Amino acid sequence: MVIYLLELSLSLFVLGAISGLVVEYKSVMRLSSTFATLASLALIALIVEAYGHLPIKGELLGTPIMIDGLSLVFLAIIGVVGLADAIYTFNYMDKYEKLGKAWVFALAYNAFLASMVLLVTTSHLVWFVFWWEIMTFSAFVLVIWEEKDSLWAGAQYYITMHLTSTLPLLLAMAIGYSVVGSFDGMGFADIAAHIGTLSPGLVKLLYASFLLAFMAKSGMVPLHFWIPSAYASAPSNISTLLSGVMEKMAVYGLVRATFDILKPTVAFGYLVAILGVVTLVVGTLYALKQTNAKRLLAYHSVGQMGYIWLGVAIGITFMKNPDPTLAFIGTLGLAAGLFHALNHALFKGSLFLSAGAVEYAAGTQDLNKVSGLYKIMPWTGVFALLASLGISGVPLFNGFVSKWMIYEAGYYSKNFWFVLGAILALLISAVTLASFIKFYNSAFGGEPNELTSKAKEVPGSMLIGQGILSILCLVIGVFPVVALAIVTLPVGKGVITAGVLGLSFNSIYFSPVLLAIVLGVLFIAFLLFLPARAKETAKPWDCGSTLFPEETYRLRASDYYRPYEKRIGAFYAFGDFFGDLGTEVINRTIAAYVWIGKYFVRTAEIPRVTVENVDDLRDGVTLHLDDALIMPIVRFVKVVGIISKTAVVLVLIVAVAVLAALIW
Amino acid sequence: MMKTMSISVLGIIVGVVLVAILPPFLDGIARKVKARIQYRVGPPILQTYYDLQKLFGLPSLRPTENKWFRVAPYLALASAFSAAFLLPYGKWVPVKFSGDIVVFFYVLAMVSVAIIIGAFSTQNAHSNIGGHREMMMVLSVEPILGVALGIFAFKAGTLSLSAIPLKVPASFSTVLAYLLLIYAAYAESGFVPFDIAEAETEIAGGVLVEYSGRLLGVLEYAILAKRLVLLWLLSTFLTIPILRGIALTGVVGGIVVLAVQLILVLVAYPLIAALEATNARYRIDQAVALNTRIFLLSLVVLAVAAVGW
Repeated sequence: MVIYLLELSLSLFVLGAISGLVVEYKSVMRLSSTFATLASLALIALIVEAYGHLPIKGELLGTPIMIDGLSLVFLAIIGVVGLADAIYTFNYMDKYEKLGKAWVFALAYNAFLASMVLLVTTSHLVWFVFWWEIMTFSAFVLVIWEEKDSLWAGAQYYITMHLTSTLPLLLAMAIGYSVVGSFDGMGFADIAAHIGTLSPGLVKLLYASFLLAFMAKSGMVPLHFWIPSAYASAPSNISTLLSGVMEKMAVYGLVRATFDILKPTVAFGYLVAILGVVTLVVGTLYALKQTNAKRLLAYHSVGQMGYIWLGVAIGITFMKNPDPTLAFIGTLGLAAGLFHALNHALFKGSLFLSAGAVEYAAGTQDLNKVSGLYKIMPWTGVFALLASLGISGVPLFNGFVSKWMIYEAGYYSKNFWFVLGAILALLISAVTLASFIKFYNSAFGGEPNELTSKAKEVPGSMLIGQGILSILCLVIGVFPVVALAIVTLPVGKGVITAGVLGLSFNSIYFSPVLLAIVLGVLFIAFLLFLPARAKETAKPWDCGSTLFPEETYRLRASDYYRPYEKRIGAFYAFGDFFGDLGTEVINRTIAAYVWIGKYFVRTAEIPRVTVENVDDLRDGVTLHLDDALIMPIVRFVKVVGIISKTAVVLVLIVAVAVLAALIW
Repeated sequence: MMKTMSISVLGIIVGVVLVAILPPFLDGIARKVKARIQYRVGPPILQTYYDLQKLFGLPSLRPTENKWFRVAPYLALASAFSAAFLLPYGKWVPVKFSGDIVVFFYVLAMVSVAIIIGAFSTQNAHSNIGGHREMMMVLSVEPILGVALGIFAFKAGTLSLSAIPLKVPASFSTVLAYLLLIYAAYAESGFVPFDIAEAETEIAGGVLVEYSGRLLGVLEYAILAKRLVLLWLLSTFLTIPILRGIALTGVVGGIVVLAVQLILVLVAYPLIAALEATNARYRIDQAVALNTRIFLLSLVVLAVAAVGW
């Protein structure tokens, strides 16, 4: 039954993917998002059906399938976010109608979702890498949707993935092949069974290549530099999937590789923890400075991934500890990390959808320019506020419960470094709150200005998409058992007791329901006994100033937290260094690609053009040539007629590399 | 499961009575003390009650259509009361929905969150600046609080509200942890020199500037209640270690603990008032700089606690 539902879901995605055959733009978008919606519903049905019958093994088109607790957590993320996003896409893509190429969208969008479903259900390393690549590539096609402005972001993303995600995974595959000796036998369990025969150096290499691959995908510092531009320039429904779902695949990979292929060791745990803590600090402090809505959200994605990695790291470090108390802390940490992954998918997904709604209605992502949207887009405002409170970790919202579990695990580990991690996580949680107060208030607070007074609320389907995710933030915050029932599956039952009333572990307990009741009763009581009776309206007091236009009489997004940012100024320089380094590496890589491309495509024949980097190409040469040189595959998609020889060369290089690795 | 969750009717009565009645009274004492230090006669002790009574009787003006402006004060007050319900009054805890100190601080922080949301809902620079300062105070105080909790985790081995004062050993780092907690609570409460968000004489009340009448009354009441809740936490953390050598059981024991808690609060408030009367407000950048320095120093204390002192 479960495998049948998986097949159903995938068939629906396939139908969605080929709905481009209908040709007419709007019909294609409606049809493909309807199929994606149905497919996501089938996934949710699968979770319900599979719950309690784990693990489930089977086959799908000859590939081995295994659905266990861990897969289920991530299937839940894909299913729920996919559902909301597909409903949102129903109308949102109208914005891009003049670009056409609807069939490409239908194909890439559905392939993207389907590849992630297959990624978390396969039990075979080769297929894992295969689906990983499909995911990376279809995401790339979607990131560069707006073409002109997003090409650099796309190039950054795709080249970073090539160098730091694909190559390490191919290396890991090669090492896996070298222990098992056949491609068919490269299931996770088979490799794990033979891992003892590897030399210590190769085992270390295996750890390193998995770590690098998953770091790059989840945007851990210092490999986070591609995230802000990629998420900001992709259409918002795609940013939601990138940030809400695709990043989580790296967490899945990390947990799967560490626990089911390798062994969780203390040293590796520390490494993951350091990466997590550095990332949560760097990502969030950078987010505090942003005034572009989607860049702000993107940096927060980096920061929140740090929380997730910290939780997972506590699991890796302590779960196999002989001391039962510490082993328990490990379990708690891992569950908290996975819980936060689910929560992040919900609130960040919703926030990107809200940012998309603001862009759809007001035509800008710039928080300095928008104001007073509470009046014009009341529903978007409410959903954005719910999700903002969720990510800020305010009690009664989902983010609070998972962050709280991470703090508790850190504090109770009684290990200086993890306690420090918990303290930094606590601090960064306040920074997140500050940042979202800015995000919410600069867009929705104040009074409408010239730009926003012309806007109007987005279509119903987009609101439903935002609503599903935001309301789940509140529901899980009040009844964490809804999510804990799934996220505790991979760590075993009996560790965290969760009921309708609340959750408890060790001697610690928290009942959000009771808090909600107490707060609600008090709130209503005060409101009844002391009603506001605020009938009379008055203009805000402006010290009698007459010369300033009214709308300037408030803080703009860029004015927030200046003294605080100045305090931590030196810190930003450190982060900028990695950003520059990443850009430099990418530029060099592009230069290498350009050099190869120049040889085959004979750019040199174009007069007065010296091609050194991608910017030269953009200034001097037409767009199509630019595509053809730096991104052979885009060209394949865009100008299907002419397949660049560069692509052939690249494929040859990769193939030779794999072959060499395999022979060696 | 959830055996530790409880509701105590007696606790609710004592808690509600104390949190409802005490804050304006304490503020009245503080105003009298400050006046005497400045060679003034000062208002009567009950002046804050009169003020609130008057404010509750007046209608409010509405500077914006935004509903959060009107909801925020009630949310702040309800949050302050919810946090109060987690603390023990004698041996009675009103509604124990969590025994965890992290949860307690977060529920209390909701007061600030509500105030900030209210302050930003209007198009008024003073109000916005106030909200923005309140946020920066939360930002810079939070890590200090985090370190204090870290030290408790090391030394007492627990983060349970009721267990920390029972288990905490007398040592170098725990004394410093108490000092950090007192500092954080003082700064969080917005007493002078940390009254930066309201800054009456500078930005005309900051977060409060657009509020009037009953809404202003509710908001001021919430701020006073929050101060009492923080002070009550500190007094509990001092009372129980003092009394833990003495076997206090039954109702009598509970009443003794309650009495000591109350006396400590009544003693502490005039002291705070004296501090307020003799200090000038910090600028926000000075406050952030001070808090940052204290945070960095406190990390050393954390390391000391980790070593075992």
